[in-house]
Amino acid sequence: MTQSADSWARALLPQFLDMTASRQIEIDIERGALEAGDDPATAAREICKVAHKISGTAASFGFATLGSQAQRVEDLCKQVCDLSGAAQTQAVQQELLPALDALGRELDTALAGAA
Amino acid sequence: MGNMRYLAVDDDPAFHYVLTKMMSQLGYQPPVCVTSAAEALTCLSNPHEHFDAILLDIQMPEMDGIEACQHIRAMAHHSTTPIMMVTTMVGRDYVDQAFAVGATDYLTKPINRIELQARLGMLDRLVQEHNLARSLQFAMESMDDVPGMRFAFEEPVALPKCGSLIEYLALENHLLTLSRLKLHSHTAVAFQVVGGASLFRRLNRMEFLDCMADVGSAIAACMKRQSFLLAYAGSAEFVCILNRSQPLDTQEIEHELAAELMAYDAVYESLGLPMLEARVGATVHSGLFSTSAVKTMLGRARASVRGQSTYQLQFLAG
Repeated sequence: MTQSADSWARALLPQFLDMTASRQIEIDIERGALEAGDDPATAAREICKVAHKISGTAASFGFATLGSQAQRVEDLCKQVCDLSGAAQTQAVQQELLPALDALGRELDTALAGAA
Repeated sequence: MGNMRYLAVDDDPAFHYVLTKMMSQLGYQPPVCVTSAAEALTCLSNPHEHFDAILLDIQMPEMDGIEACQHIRAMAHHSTTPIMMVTTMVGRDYVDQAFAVGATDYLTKPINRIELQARLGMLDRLVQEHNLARSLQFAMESMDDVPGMRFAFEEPVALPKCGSLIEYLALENHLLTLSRLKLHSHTAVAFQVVGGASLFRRLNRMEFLDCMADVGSAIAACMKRQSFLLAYAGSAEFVCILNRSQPLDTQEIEHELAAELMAYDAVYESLGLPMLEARVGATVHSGLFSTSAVKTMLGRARASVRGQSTYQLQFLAG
């Protein structure tokens, strides 16, 4: 958490991190579905919802990088949903999965820093 | 502002925490928080619950904020309640749709205190305007002037009984959300009531607002062939925003408007009031590289209507 974060944000941090940990699990489950490749659009839609929530509040708790990475994932998920066939598979492999890796690292950092 | 009661609708409890804390720090009552559009509609349809303004997340599962906004606007007692849409940067594409169904303003997540303070301040002013309009409406209906009700000629007050109009602040907010390129694809045109200042001096405030509401309804009737946003801008002037791809014949509109206003002649004559007459300004659009594009565009539209009855030139603002 950055020093600029408000004291109230510090007080609410445990709740935020609890939610973040649950969200990390939700993303991991959908990521599995995404890698299996059965229905990438549905998995991307679910990841998009979770990423949307993270991007909406992470910066308020001092995790600006986590917020912007979640925003990138949200954006990529929307793109994946708009594609189909080989273009969709390519977008998942080359864009979305690496972005999810980066998001996972940011989530790990946030959770480890607070532990 | 301490007495203002807000309803916050967002499916993310973390956002409720952030919003509640920030609003408390700014001296506001903690908002009433609900996590779905359905819950919000139940809350808002309860006649025993009063809310001054609503913060509404756009992207929610099941019913999204845009559909919820439509339902809220369909409720008679919330037809003018300020609604501030809340969205992430990724969701900004939806903001246009939200304004089209009656949103007042929007706020981008993650929220910061300075922006929230400015936006809530704007909502406070709107709520005050609505309260004033409601008082005037009540006074008008009881045919009784209220000496305490005062507003200046220049003020862009909300007009009672005029469903086709949006508030001037909401119109500005909508234009501010557009990218420069999108703004460039819009046209502004202003309307001015002839002798508006003299009407303001001669009539009491309620009669004046009633006159403006009649003119607003007549303008809306003339513009109904295209999609438009219309607002009362104060000083007996109206500003209308149109899509630039639908050219507007201002002379024809002026004639149509004169015909629409004739419908009120008998009533005004019987009341000893002057006949309503309005002029139409030039269509004005924003330059691609202008600064302060929104204010400039609206300002130039209003300047043109003050100058002459119908301009043949297309002004390029900025």
